[in-house]
Amino acid sequence: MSDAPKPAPAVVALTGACTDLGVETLRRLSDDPTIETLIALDVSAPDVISDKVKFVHLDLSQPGAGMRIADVLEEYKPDTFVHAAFLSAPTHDGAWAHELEDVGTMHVLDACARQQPQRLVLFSTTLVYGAKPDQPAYLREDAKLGGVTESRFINDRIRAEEQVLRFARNHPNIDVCSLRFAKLLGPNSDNLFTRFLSRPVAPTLTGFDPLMQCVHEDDAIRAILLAIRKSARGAFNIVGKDVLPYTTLLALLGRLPLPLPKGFAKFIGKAMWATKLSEVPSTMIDHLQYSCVADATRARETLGFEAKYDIRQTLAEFLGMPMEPEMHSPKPATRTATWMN
Amino acid sequence: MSDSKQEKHSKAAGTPAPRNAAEWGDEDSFLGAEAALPPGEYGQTIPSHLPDPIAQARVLRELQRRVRSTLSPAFPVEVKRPLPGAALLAGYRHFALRSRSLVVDEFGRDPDYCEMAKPTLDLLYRHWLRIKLEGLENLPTDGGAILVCNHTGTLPYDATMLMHGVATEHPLHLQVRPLLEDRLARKAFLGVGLRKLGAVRACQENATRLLDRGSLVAVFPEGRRALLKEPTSPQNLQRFGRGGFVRLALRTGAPLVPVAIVPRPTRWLPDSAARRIHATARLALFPTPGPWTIQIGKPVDLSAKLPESDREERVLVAEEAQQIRMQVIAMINQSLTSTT
Repeated sequence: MSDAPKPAPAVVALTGACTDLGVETLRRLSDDPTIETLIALDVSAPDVISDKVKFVHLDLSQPGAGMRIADVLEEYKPDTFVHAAFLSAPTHDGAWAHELEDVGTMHVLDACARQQPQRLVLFSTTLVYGAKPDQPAYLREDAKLGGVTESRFINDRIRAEEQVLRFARNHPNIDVCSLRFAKLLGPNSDNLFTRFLSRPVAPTLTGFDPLMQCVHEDDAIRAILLAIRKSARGAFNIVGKDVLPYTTLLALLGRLPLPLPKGFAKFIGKAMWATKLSEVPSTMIDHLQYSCVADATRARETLGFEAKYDIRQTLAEFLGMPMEPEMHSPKPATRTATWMN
Repeated sequence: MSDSKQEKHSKAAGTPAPRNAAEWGDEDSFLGAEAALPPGEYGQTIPSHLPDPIAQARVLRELQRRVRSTLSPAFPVEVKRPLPGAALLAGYRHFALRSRSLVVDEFGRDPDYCEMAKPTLDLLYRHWLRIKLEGLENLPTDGGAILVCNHTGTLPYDATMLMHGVATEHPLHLQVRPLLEDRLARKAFLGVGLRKLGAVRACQENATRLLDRGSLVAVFPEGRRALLKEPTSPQNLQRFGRGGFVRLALRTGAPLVPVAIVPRPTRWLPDSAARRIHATARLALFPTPGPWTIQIGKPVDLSAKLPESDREERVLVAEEAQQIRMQVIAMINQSLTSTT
């Protein structure tokens, strides 16, 4: 933490204003009376109506984006910069994704180095840890960012994290923090996991049943607001309460598990990704084999963030279904599961 | 039920989300909408007396969103439409959720799965291996402890039997969490099954987390080298790992409890035949019949010893690991001589 307490955020700039989390962050921040101006940077205007929101067109995948951000920062002098311009799901256009996520982060950091805002918040994901058999059951923030070797989607996020880490080391006067969200689920979210879990049939790997962790979008937004207000430093895992095995999760959602041997599943996944039948590349298959569960201790102790939703409530909200009373306070051993219908 | 109709309507129109209006701060005024227009970012704008249609559409969308968010409750009970074949799906869900609980603990122990596996384990425990469990009173009941056990056989029957024995015979039904070596933990089927029964992958972080929560952790420091042991002399224990369990005890302050798991050497067979059976049992993966003895020794408290330097720690760890090993060997010898 910095020595002198910094003034509360008054002018906040946000890239990726049209992402799920970006829009909600803008909405909540615009309701905050201490916030004077919100600068929404994106390729199209976000659906937020407020006097405070100033929309500035910015395409991070363009070569001149760095200068453009610097101009904007010069003009409005924001004290807080939130970098949320990341893709919610992998895309086939890898070169463009690389420009947007990896190089886009570089542009943002260049502009921040020039204008020196007081704090910088990066949106990241727990996928950067990767799912490996030799990991501890609960990954702390200092764990190695193993990722998935051949997945460009995750590698871009890791490179963004690494750049921000280096930036934080070189600029100790700026409070840099990165929020690593677990699988984001909720009524409004649309991302890799919601699309994967929306299909009637879901592949599983025979003999493997990893533990899954997710976070409700409302919890994620609360964590973002806390991170902005508290001038947090370093990385934080933002995860929901409790874990569940993958097959239990599928059973709760009423999806049909399709057990496949790993090699075959990878082959099928590759074919389906290449033909655009599936929205999940086969490189993510490790996450169906081994767990990737993050530890929430640091966010609780430093940020004061406590998740409101546990995994069952998050799934119910994702389905838009009511929950049975027992789901709110589940007994340790529920023999028969009467969940829906 | 006009409310429910509106909800249905709103769902059909594809509302993004029902959300709690008060909590999301939606009740403020939205009249200053013009101020949110983009401040001339697209080059020179031609002045027009007509209102901007894009901005108006955005105001309309926001208005719509706010009206809807105040109409629909947090949990839209009424919007649920019956799916085709709902009964079939419900039946499937019951089937898919059989023998699995909705709540697993941090490390994936599944109480319903344990309940289901209980009769099988009981059969093995009472009738096949005929296990005699001694020294249950030595187990600390408050806070964690590290049970240091010797290893027998290929598959972790010793770990499951220790788990099952303590859970059924101890008056407090304590849970023992054995630490599995990587090779077992990542095996298909076996790794998941053992995890559901309560096993945890062996690493310092997991063990520390378990001990912080006051669990009994069982370690098998011999590891895979236990397979090299002669079946006729179970007291010849292998090296006790690198003493990681002592380091764990020093760091967490948990006591070390030596545990001897003694399979009775077959008496009605010559040694050579017993060796052969042992060799094939590795392939058969099923334990030879008992009786076994599991003996729990007196706990050793290391919390008073705090090494200050790396040298001291290394010396202490090596010494304590060897001492515990000798203790387990003594217990095995005693149990072998007392019954034969």
